[in-house]
Amino acid sequence: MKNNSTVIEKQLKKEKKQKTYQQYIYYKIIVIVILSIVLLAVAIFAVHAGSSGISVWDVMKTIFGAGTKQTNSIIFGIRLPRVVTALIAGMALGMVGCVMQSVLRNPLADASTLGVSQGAAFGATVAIICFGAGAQNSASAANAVNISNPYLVTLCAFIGGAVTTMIILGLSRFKKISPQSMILAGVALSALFSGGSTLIQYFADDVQVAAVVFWTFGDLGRTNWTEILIIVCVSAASCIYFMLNRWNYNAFESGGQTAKSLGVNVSVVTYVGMAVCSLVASVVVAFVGIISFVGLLAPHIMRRFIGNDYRFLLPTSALTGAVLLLTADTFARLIVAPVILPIGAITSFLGAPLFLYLLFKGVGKA
Amino acid sequence: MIEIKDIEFGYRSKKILHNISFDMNQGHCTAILGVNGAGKSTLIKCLNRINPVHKGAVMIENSNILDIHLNEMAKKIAYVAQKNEVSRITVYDAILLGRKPYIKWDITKQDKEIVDRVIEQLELQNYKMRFLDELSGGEFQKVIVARALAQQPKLLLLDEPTSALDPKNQYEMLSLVKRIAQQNQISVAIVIHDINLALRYCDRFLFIKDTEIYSYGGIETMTADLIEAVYHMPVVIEEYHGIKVMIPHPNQFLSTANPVM
Repeated sequence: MKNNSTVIEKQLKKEKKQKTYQQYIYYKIIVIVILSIVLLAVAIFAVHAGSSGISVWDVMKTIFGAGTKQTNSIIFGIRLPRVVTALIAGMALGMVGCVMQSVLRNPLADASTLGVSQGAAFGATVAIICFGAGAQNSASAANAVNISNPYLVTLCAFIGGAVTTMIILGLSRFKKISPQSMILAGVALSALFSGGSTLIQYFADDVQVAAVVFWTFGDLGRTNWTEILIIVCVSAASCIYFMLNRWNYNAFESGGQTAKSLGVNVSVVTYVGMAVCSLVASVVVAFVGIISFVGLLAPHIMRRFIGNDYRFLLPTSALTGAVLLLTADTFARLIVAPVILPIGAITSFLGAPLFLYLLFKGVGKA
Repeated sequence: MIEIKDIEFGYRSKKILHNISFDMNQGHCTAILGVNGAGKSTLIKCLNRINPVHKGAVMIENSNILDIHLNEMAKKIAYVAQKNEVSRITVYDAILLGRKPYIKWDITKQDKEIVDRVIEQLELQNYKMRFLDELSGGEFQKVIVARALAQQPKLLLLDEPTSALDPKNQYEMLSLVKRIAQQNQISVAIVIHDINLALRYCDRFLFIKDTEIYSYGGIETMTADLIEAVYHMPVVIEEYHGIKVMIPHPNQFLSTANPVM
């Protein structure tokens, strides 16, 4: 009897301790607030950090319009575009990874693992080298390409990314391939596009080769405000579309058939979702090059904290993507300053171990 | 009353279902029976448009489900798949998903009230904040049924809801479904292999054989001859404490292997 009453008491205590649903929602909102604060702090640090020694106070003064000519030029001309690009590109890639993982029901899915980024990079390379959308500058490899026609680059990148997306969707729709096979298909497509880029480089002159090689490394420092505006517009419109579909993505978590029985038009949500993802990833790739694994890392980190509820997973993945990319870029700028390491390499160092971990763990359990 | 009229479905030249017509009463459970591959699961997937039917109608409250918007269909028909994916979401969130067809931008107070009511009805209060991947098979199945009930459907389709459960959980699950069907006046169609479970908890019995309905009726139609004709195995139907039970004929399926001497 004593044992029984102890068990009941323990049960009652446990029930009292049990969180209410509202508390659980508050917890998720707190995660969003904390992430936003972290992002703001990292962004301020990123604008402040550098060889010119501008203090945080001067950074704030300059941003709010009370800077000197020199600080205005450094912050608005160099650092802020770079930081804003990292913020927007990171957010966009984080969300794209999150949505791709949902609609393809594949925890390994990301623009870079499926070959969408590589397809977009090939398209952008074609635009820059073959269609003359990039003005060549032979002064240094670091500034070898200035995009003179961002719209053509975006269009060609989107076509490259969209072709890859269509092949991946076709395979998943008609062949019902496993998540691992889908990634293998991405590897094959990446190889195909790399082959295409190699061919273009083979027939290009030295400066063009240097330009394309440097361009594909990924660099957040080459965007101007017009290009940033294009990334912002595409990302913002996509963000609205993704958020409108958050309940559909939640339904996808229960499987395609259950999602349909919950009123979701599975085909439309999948195809439109992938097309939008492909567009966003292509625009990012067109202006900053290939940045791998941010879209894989960000949603997986957040799934650990807030589960698979896309109402919160989408915004937190976006914020985490931005924090990751901005931190990686700041690290790349400072670690062996004044040399700036390619951002694509840094994110690959972070993402590849996670990718291997997911593979070893088994994607079904991820 | 739910009317299924002349459903026809197939893949290219292969006919799977032909001329399927039957009615279901409110609050009644209908067992869908037949051999493996007869088209039982296919039939219920036709009723909620997972499988696109070639012709026919599913009439609920004077509207043909096959013609209306998917979202409107989801307010009238709920479906519990044979295999459900386990996601890292809480039980509460999983049940809340049943309100998906009603949600415009975000959940309302009414949605929460309905979810709370379903949780109470299915006695899930103690683990409503647990994650789905922390539940036992029986608990998980209950949550999936709860999600379907949160849709407030007129017709509930269950595809082998007991196939992954132990005997105790099988009986508990079907007893729960029957109670809820009666309380909420929902028509339930259950694809099931266990004839004894069907005999105990279902009101109507529909057999599919050779793409068509072979038999449809109440408990009185469940005879040994019928089961023998469908499954090609001799059985005996007995009554135990007022409940019909099916027993395979004692001389069937005896091992013919010679014992090792």
